[in-house]
Amino acid sequence: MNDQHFYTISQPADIASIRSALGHLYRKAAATDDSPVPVVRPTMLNIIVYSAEYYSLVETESVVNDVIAQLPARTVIVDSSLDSASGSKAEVALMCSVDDRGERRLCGDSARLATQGLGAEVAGLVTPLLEADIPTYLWIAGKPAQCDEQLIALSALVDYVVIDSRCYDCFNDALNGMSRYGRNTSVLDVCWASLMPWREGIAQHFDPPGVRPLLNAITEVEVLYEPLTDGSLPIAPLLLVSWLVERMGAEIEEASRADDGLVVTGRREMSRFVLKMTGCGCGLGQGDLVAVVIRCTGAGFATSRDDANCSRVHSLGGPNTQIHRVGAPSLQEHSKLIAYILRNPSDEVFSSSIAVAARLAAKAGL
Amino acid sequence: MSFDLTSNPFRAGLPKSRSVDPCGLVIFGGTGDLAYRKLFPALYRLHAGGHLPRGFVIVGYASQRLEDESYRIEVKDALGKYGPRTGLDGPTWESFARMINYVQRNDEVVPSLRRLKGRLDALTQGMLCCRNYLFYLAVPPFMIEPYVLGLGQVGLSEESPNAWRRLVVEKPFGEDLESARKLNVILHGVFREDQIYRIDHYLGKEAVQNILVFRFANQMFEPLLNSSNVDSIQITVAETVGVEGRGGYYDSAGALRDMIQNHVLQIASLLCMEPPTSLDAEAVRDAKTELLRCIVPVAPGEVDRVSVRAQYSAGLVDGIAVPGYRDEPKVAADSQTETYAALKLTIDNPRWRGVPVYLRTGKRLAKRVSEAAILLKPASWSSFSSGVDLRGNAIAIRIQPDEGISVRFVAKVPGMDIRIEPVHMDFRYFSGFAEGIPDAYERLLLDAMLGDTSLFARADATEIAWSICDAIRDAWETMGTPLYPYTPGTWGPREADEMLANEGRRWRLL
Repeated sequence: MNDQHFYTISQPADIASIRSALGHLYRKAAATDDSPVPVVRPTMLNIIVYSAEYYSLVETESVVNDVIAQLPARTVIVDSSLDSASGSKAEVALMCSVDDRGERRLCGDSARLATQGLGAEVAGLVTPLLEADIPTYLWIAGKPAQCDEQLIALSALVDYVVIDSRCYDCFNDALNGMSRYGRNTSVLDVCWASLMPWREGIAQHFDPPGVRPLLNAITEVEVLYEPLTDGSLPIAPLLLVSWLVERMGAEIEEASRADDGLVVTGRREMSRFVLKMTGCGCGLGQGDLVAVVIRCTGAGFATSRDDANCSRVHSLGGPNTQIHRVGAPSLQEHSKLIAYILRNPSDEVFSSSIAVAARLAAKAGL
Repeated sequence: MSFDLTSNPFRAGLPKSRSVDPCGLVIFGGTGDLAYRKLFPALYRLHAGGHLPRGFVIVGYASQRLEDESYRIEVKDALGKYGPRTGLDGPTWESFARMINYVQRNDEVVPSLRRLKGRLDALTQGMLCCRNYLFYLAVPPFMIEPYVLGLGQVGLSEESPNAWRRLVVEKPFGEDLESARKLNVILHGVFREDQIYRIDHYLGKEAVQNILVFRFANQMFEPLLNSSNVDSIQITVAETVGVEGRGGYYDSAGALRDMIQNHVLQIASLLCMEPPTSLDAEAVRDAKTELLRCIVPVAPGEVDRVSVRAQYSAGLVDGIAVPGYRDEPKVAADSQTETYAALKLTIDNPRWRGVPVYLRTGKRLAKRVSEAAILLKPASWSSFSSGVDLRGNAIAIRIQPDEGISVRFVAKVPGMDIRIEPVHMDFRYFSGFAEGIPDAYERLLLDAMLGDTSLFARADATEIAWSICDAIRDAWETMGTPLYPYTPGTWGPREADEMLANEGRRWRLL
């Protein structure tokens, strides 16, 4: 159950008006007669949203509204397409939701600021709106320009920079983006967040101590994905393969493009194994992961997306193969992914997996 | 490099750092109040949160004639009443229902348990790795012994490398020291101590678990917690309800046995223990047990000065007429059982010597509230002491409702004069975190499946707690300590206020 309160004010850079408008919205929400639960006003984090070309601003705002309904935050949307000098209106909004026990109406708020024509001084506009002493995130929605003064200034204000590596043309571009805007902060990746259910599903196969000896008998790992129309390799499966290599403690010997994906040969101690990325059409979104199969001597472990329904998935279950289905979000479900990232900012294996992905990309000439 | 098989390399960095092995849960008393009100709602939420392992099975075990399908309908009805207020999610319920099975108990314990074993073996046949079983005894105390012995006889207590066996026992863990020892002998005759999970649901409450974090992860509090700074400690566990259909049990127990022996002393031990050597389950339990050992037994000659026992009479609670305790169903008309107890305990160790610990618990009190409060000594600088309220600072840990921590200090009232008033700084879980607070049973069930005994009572701790309470009970009998009446909807008898007033203190107004 969500309810929304919008209020529009006319002074784009008048911080006092924005604060006053937010106060008005909270009072209005608290006075809503039809809600049996009280409005609670915690602010867990600040999110600065910078909308670049990948998402439209409308889509970005929709994601923000979904996110702040799940996770009470102060959100400042920096809209560089709106002219700050022409008297355009800034907008504030409040989004409230009842928690899953039906007990409390948590509210998050957002203020959208017009910043066209501004440079580094955007920091002076945003800073007074941030709540003190709580984690602050900069979500770059889309692929930003090579050198964006506003972004560089905003990234200096925050603890975490959230990018989406899928928005970049290739993995190396994404790496450059991470190093440019995340120089002094921790970088988080929406695409990496989308892998969490897959990692959890794969991990569950090997949770029982009795199964773990099979980790030493892995011979082949195959990652199935929905191909991109331009034939390039999507980043999500590449990151998952890199994570598997990293977690298996393997060395990459060779990596080469195949017709329908990528083939990697790796070595652990004296044993060799093969890692394949294979494109297959299962009717999911472009770049989405479809299934992961880990084949060991005498057993197999398959993890597939629960809504994947195609012959490749049906044929996963060979003899002695356990199949888990995971409810992984589609790469298009941005608000789920953003909310997940904001809840779980630290992930000790992200940077080491990114390093493996960089080596893999270099070997395969991606 | 071969894998270190002691941990799962794919788990690193995932939110769920701990995962439950595939296992089966058997609920003895599967159609009882506890199962329907607490256990199934907790299991449903664990399932909805993705905490239950793949292949998890639940077997309800009870005497009612039911099939799997009819049992699932009963469970669904119960979840409708006691489950999520937002209702059941269709697909989540469907997948949860598939886990639920039922085995009917016959009069003969051992043959019934053999059938249960056969059913469990069949249900877990598909598990690649293991046959792990958790047995939850949600049954009256008199049924514990036959079930425990029966489980031993049919081989369901025997472990092997890929088959753990754990037993969850609900309180009361005996009714005095002697019966607690006897119970422990029975349990230890079949299960090792590390297989036994004595559940005290208070320990599963978020605010109780937070006591460890509050004390040992914050530099601002722990240095204050000693006799140099603390005037006294007050622990209150107050209920507005009466005996709620449990008159038969309660009349043989009373407030001392029902609440103080377990919940209240467990909270006291967490609040006052020395820092454990680690957060390892045994280290925490060692520290708590050591604290209980330092509580000075109440001597008969002292008992009337340091304790008050009382029983509620008829009256009004929230404007509704309620009967007196002796008019409750299954309660003796001349019952001498206390429904309220207030105690002053002393801890004989260097940290707490000279700091009284006041405990009170009762039914039909003014509010449902549980809190542990640390009352600090007044500020030593006397310049402000003329004509102002200089009650010392207080740190209160609210356990329920509105879990959180409140700190009381004094501040200058705005104006031209120096006028000082007490103010409160409140942290409340519900507004401090977006995450919902898990129910105590969710946490404790998950911990039992994970094999984490930190939040469960150990045999020696329960026995020491009984010895503390037995000393008081014996002294009450020896000295003929009076049983005072109190009016429902109040904070208990006047004598409890006087007990503190005699020492220049008063109960916190909650």
